[in-house]
Amino acid sequence: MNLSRITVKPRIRNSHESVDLGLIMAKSWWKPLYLSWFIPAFIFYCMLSIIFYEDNWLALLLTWWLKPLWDRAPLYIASRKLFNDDVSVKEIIKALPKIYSTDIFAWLLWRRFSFTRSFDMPVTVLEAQKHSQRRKRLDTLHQGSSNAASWLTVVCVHLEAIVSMGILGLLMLLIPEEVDVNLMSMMIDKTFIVDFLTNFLTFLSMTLIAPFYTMAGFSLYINRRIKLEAWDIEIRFRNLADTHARKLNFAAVCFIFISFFSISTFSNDVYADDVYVNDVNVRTSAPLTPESSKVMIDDILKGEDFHKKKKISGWRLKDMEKEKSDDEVPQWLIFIIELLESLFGDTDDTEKSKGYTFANLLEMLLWLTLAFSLVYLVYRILKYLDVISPTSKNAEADSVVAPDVLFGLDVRKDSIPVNVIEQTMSLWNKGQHREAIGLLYRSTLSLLIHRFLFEFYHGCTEQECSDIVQQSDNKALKEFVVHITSIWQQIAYAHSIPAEQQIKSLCSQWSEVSNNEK
Amino acid sequence: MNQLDTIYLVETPEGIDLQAELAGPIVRSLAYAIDLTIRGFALGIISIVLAFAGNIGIGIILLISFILEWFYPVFFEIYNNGQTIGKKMMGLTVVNDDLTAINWGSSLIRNLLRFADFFPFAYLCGFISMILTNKFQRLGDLAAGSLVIYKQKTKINTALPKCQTHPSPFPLSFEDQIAIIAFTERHDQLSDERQQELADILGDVIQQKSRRIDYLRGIGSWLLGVK
Repeated sequence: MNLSRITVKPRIRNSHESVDLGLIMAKSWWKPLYLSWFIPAFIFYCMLSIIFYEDNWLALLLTWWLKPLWDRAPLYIASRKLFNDDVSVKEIIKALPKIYSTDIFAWLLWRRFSFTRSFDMPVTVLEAQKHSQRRKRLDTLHQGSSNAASWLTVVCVHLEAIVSMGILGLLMLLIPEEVDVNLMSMMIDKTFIVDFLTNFLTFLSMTLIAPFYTMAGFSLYINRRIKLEAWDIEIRFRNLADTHARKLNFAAVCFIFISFFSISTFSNDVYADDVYVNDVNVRTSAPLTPESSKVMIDDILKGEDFHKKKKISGWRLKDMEKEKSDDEVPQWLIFIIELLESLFGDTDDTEKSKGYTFANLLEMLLWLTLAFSLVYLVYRILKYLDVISPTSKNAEADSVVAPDVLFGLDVRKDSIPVNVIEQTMSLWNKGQHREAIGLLYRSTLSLLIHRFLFEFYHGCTEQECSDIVQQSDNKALKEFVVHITSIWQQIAYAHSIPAEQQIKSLCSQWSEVSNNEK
Repeated sequence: MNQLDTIYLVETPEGIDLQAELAGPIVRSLAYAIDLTIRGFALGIISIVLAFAGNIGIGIILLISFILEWFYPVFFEIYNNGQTIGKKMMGLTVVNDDLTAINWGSSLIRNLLRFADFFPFAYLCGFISMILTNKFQRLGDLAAGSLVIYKQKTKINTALPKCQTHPSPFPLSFEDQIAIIAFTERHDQLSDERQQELADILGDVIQQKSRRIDYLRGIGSWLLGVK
């Protein structure tokens, strides 16, 4: 048992998982497993069929009874395959008598109906444990796995039945209707040939299932051993020890080489210098900076690997539908015209056609209602999504939050100085006319927003602000705002400086307006 | 060497390897049997109640049996993390083959195609397909791109042995670290003799004449972050 050659992944599995693994094992080694099951069983079955010519069912029953024997050869092969050993046919034939004879009576008598048959079989065949030793061993192995092993047997028994009945059913389906056979009567009073065929079918389904069943049990057994004996750990530990030993060897070889070369270099100064120079070169070569590595990354991204081009050619249908429908009368128009025709076309006076017309009208009405409600729905959705009238909703939203900046002017309350008039006049006297009027206008806006609580929204123009103020009933304020707005617009956009008198009157108006409110 | 296993690996675009354990036909048929029993009982009870309602009752019974048969798995797979009751009891779950949760489309396809798996008798095609495909998929799974996997249980932390922890004096590969951690965690499942045997394999590496088991357990605990 060389664990390093194991062909299944050694890991801790739950019992159902190891059953699955058994199926995979059976699938990948199917050839030797099937052959080693089928050949002895088939020979036996044929011989019995000849002996019990009249009672073919006996042959089948005995072959079925000897299943624990047939299962043993595949098990033996699998135990070798597990460690990547190939078994020759000669070896199997040589080992067969011993494999078949171990504990045979117990297996054919009271253990024949054991639910954990495939799980227990390896203990007999591979470990050759008997009597109390076997019992003890099974007790250890069964912990946590016997349940899955029993269910495995139950499912496989059903599967066998399903396979034979499935094949039989399929064959019956394939009988053409023209062939006149009464299947029921054929199944009930069986002729010899039908009997023989159904028995052989059952034997075949036994063959099909058996290797999977055996391997699933074997896998359960292996899983328990992996768990109990920590195969997974042993494999890794051995590997680690091996690498360590190899490293040690390598280090020893290196040590010999280095000591040999160092002796030779010490005797020659030129070599020593060369080594030194190389060392310095390595150290002074520029380290990777973020920039240089970015260039390198870009270079690599430009390369072939990241730009795969694919040429796809093939036949496909042209878009004929679209071309055709261009110069045709649209379908819905035809529908409407037909509808109108049927409504107001030649009408009989009979009750029936009246009812028909009425039904048509009603139908049209219903369709119209549907169309109307659809349009309305779309309209509501668009409105909700703010596609139809964005400004009204924006204004609503912004009215809650007073803007901080209007047309580039800072109108926050704390950006306005306390002594507006003095500052304005001092700026004016310094000749900074534009700044002076700007300050005054800015203060006015701030006043309007924060004290008079006018609702300006983002994106208001000066004129719009002024218009909003006109809606109030404070006459002095209205006049003042109109006045200052026009003066501001003139100096801001037309660069025309107002007369000093106008500024002074503005200032007095401002103080009047701002004090009035207080 | 390619070792046999039932692991299914998916690499995400981020380069992360996700893995799942595929569930095979045996455990799946057990789960199916549980579901079948539950459905049978439910239908039986409903039939007894509705049998008093005459012909209408029979009609309703037929309708319910149709819905139960075709949409019981779909319903549970969508609303119960890909688990019907039977699958839940067996610890299985249905996922898409990129290991994302199953969606309506896939679930409908894989369950409506049960009739193909059922052919010719009692899911014979499904069994054959599960054996022949590499991922234990029946025909419905192949069409829907779904898998049945074991639901991973949250790992129960086992009690670690008390010992002095210390880092490994030699470099350990990822697999080696896992092996040493497993050696530490499974201290109460392995016999003392076996543990000594295992520790002796590493005799040359750890360079300890005695108390090798404790030494290895110390490394294992250190790797697990015990201080």
